[in-house]
Amino acid sequence: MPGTGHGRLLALALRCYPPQWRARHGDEARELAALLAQDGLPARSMAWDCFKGAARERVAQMRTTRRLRTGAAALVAATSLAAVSLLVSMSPAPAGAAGVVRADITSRHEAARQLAAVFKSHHFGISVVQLPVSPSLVGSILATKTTGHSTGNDGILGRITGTCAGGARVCTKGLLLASHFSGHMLVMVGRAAKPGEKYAESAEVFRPGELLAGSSLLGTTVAAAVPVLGRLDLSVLWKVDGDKHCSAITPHGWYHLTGGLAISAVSICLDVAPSAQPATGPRA
Amino acid sequence: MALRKLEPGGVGHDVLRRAGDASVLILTSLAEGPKHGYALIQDVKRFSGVQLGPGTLYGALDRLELLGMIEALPVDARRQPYRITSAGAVALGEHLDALERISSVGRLRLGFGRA
Repeated sequence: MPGTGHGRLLALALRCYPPQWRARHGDEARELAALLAQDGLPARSMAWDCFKGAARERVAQMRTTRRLRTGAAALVAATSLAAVSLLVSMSPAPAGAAGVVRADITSRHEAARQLAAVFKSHHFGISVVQLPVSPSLVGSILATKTTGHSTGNDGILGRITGTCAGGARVCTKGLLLASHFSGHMLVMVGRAAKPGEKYAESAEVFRPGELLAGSSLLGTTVAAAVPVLGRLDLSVLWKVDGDKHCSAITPHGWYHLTGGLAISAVSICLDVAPSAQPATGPRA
Repeated sequence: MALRKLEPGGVGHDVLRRAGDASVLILTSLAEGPKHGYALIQDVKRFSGVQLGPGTLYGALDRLELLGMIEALPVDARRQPYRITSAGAVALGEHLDALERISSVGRLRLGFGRA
């Protein structure tokens, strides 16, 4: 195939890709195309697929460097740029992984420091704020907020998700940022709470890693849960179905537990709702 | 700051929805085990009937790697194998759950509901 007209077309298509892409995938893509051609896939359709792929790569580069406003204009410009690249053998232009900066959290207890180091090294106006959180949220990104004069959320290209502390899913473990981002932003990160400190953010108390994970209390009646909670030495508040606030008043014993949040390491607020048919009436 | 219940799941589905169909097919293939490009294309064609071209394949692989959903393994015989990460597995699971919900609703509305 390499010597045929279609083979040459495919080679031309591959040359339309940015230099970084060719350096990484070029050889393997050529080999892959040869194998697919042996399987009967037309070289012309592979070449077209590669032309489209090259245009997408160029669009991605241009979006991050020039912030083109319309997709049609970007596509036309990208195709033109690809053609120019092909014809005049444009010299390699460093794109810094297509203008994307990746800020990852790999250690729960170093989360804030890891993010701050990446932001600092790229001279971003991004501050990291640590908030006390329930156990499964430690080392996760809780929220981002633009501050002052800013380009809005233009800087965040995506969020990297992963498993939360304790195994629950899904927590935000990193950000993909446009390298051109010039605004100001706060990134809020969860940290372990100090003894007695209230959580600023809290996850469902029954999910893995949280206070009542594996307790089997979810769905049980209040009457059955109260003695167990007493043994755990927890201060328990209750929120009956429909209420806005937690209350210290223990609901009817035949109500059942439907969820809850931790307020601190020693205090929780449990959601309860009446069971469909109370078997023995109120006796909490 | 007020205490706030976080929405469970959904993030991975949203990310994959934006990443495109090829990304879902690739993650589904890698859920079986690590593969290089040619093996991925063959497997995807086998289970879905979709023929991925080289341009689509490498574009999707780059996006998934950037999102932390797959990772490149050491090159084996000039071929670059990839494997799914735990984040990728979670995102794929969420996405498939969402598709299942949509599929159920669609079937019901078309009158194809299960008896």
